[in-house]
Amino acid sequence: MKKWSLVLMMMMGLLILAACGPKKFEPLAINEKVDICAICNMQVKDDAFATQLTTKDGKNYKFDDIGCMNEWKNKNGTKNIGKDYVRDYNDKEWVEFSKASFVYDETLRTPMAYGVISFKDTASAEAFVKEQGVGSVLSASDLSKHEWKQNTDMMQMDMNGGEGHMDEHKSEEMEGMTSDKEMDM
Amino acid sequence: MVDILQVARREIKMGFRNPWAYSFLALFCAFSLGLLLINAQNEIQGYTAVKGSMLSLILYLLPLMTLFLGSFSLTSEKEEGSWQLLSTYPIGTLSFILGKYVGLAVVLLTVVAFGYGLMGMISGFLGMAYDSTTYFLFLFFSAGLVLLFLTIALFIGSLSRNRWQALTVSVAVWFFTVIGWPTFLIAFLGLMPYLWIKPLLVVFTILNPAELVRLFVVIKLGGGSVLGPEYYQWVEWINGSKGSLLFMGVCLVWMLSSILFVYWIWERGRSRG
Amino acid sequence: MVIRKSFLYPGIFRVLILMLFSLLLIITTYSGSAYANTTSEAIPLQPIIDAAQIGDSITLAPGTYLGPVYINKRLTISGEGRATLLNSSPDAEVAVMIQADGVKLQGLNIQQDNGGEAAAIRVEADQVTLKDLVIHTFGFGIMLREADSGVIVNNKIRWFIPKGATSRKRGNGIDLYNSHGSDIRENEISYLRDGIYLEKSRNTKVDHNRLFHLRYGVHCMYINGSSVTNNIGEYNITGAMVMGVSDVMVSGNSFRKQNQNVHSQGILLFDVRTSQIVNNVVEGNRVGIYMQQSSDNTLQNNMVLRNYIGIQFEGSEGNRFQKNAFIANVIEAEATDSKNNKMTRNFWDSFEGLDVSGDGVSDLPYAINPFYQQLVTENAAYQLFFQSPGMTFLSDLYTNDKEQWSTDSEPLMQLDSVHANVGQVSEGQGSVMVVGWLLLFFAVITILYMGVLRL
Repeated sequence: MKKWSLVLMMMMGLLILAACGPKKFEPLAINEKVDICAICNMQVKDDAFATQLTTKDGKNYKFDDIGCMNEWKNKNGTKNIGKDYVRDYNDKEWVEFSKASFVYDETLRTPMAYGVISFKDTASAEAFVKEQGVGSVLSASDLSKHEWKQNTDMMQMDMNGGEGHMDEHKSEEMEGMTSDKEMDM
Repeated sequence: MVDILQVARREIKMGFRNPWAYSFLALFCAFSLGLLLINAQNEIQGYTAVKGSMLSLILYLLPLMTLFLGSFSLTSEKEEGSWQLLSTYPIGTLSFILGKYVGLAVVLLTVVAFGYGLMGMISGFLGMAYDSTTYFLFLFFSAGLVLLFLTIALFIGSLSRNRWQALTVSVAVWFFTVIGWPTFLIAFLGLMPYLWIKPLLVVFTILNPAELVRLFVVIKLGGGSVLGPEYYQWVEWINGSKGSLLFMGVCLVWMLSSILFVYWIWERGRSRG
Repeated sequence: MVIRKSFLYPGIFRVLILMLFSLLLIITTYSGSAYANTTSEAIPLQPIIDAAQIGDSITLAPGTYLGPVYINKRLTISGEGRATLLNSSPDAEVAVMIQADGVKLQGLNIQQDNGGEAAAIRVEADQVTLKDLVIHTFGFGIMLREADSGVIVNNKIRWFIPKGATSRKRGNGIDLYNSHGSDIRENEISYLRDGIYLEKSRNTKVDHNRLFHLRYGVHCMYINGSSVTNNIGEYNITGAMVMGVSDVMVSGNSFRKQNQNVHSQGILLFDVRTSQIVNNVVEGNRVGIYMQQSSDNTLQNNMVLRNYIGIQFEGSEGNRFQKNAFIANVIEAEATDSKNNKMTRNFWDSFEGLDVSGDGVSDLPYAINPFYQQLVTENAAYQLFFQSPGMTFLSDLYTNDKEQWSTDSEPLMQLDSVHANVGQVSEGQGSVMVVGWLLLFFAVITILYMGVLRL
């Protein structure tokens, strides 16, 4: 029996080492094969709309839209969150939610139609608004007052069709921002 | 090598003169005919309810049968004093253990083959649908269960003093590995931090032959996706070209290491005795 | 590489995709060489359109035509199945752009070599008819943008990789955005991302389409008042993904063999309200019907066959759930946080009911044990215990708040319809019998030689 307990001890030791190592809630890579949104069940694409949070236990949840992450926070509270991340719209870099800037406009197309996109700093958010001609820049704390309305009806789009097209075109390309740029601009 | 064959031959002979073997043979035949009837309910390929219950039934019966026959064979050596006699012969302990293993494996596999043979034959006669992939997979599954549980049986036989002790321990082990397994694991893992649960679960699953073989069959039946996102890479490996080889490798390592351990127990007993 | 990430699944799927690719390669190389002969004679289509008067019908002679084309007046263009429009110009995003109401396009083969956001046909006008088209696209198939009342009938849309191109992500087969009242019928769509993607497009009819090897067969977001009927889907990740809608009709669909992905399911209903899900067949999927946060729907007369999990409810309340049949599912049903559903007269084949009164309805209720689902929601790692004998044992032990479980108060004793016996397979029976004989023979010989005969 001694041998077994030794083996078991060694395994436990390894596990403890392995478990104690990364306690920093690093963002995980998106795996499109298996990752679905913890709220709406849609596949999480490896794109700028993907967000994720890791609870203090180390449990990781991924979302396909910032709105879905917000929904999760409404349901489960924010107390137990270790870190939450959003992505920069331009280079898909993971940014901490609290440090990111956001742009909301109801005509922006996002996977679950919440119309909020994220940027790593205010400058790039402002640049986006300037370029698109629509949207308002919000900080993470502004978002807590945001009403998170899903734009499920685009009737009013017909009136400002031109701009609508631009946005739509931009965000339809849910996978590659690079390819988006080369054809869009 | 000759020693191993000698011991194995003796074991097979004893095995087939043992009334226990025949009662299990009868039981397994009745059981396989039962499987056949279950399977006859409009069945198709893949992982379905019927396959699930067949898997469960096999998991109930075969490990128990293996544990009994295997452990009794070793305790009877002690009880009847033939091991004391054999120890005086120039025969290696390893040869003895391996011979025992091979002999018992032949006996048990013969029982399994008989049952499956009967099942295949009757299904052929009656013209019942029996998908060949499933048939071979289940045959393979049963053989794997027998071979893995036989090593545990040798363990039990080595550590028990007599037949009754072996019986008690066998039933306990069977209950623990087949029935109580999730209950114990969930209770134990509930105490662990979240991040440890999956790796521990994987380690324990590899240590439990019943789960190991069952999961392999579920995946091979195409049901791998039911295990969820945590294991999709495993499922991909096993479904891949080298999956079966990998699995057989794991089983082989399992058998060899436990046989070596049994050898160590007996060798210790021999040097002391 | 990119495709690998998004769309390759293990096993059969991979093989099939490989087969398709090789087939497509053959087709494209073949047609490529054919085009090579005719490239000099490939006719630019745009001048023909420019020359036509509003309301004209143009019948294209058999042959190859060059895109892209922009149609900005009402025309009917017909290729009678033998005219092929080729768009290989990398500058042109869209092979056919339709910007005039009432355009009709039929019997044309269209090949779109551009990938990414590029579509074979992009419609930005109302009452457009697209009929009998065969589309091979590297990007999207048909895209409707603010285009109401379109008619899209009997088209074949497939994904392909043009010669020499590195594979990229797939687009959707038919993609509607803010386009209401369209009629999408009898199309066959395969190997793309989503077969039919509807977003913010109300009152759309999706009927009799065939959808294979896609991510989601039909993907509906915010399409109130639409209907998804009589479609067939196989080998997709999910057959019908219905999200954020109310008053939708999902009926007569058949979704089978969607079990390769760890999140596969027949029909997914998320945030669906006051809708009808009736007469569907879900067979051999990982999960037959998955219903989450949906309320006040009617699920009736669905056949749920041979799925790993028949139906899953999560946080769904106030639904009517009646006369569905559950046959040969590994786990029939899972339900958590789903109260106040009116669940009656379903047939559960594993349930041993007791009918004392003789009215064909069991007097014992059928309660759905939520234990396994609760366990794996807490930690997905426990999915390893799926239907392990010990797990069934443990579930049976669990009876906490049994009165809170979703319960069928009057389960049916017998299924009146007999269409459950579909898909009998009995191949390889000969080999089973031969092997059976051999095994029996060897077993008997061994027993005789080693045991009975005292040699």
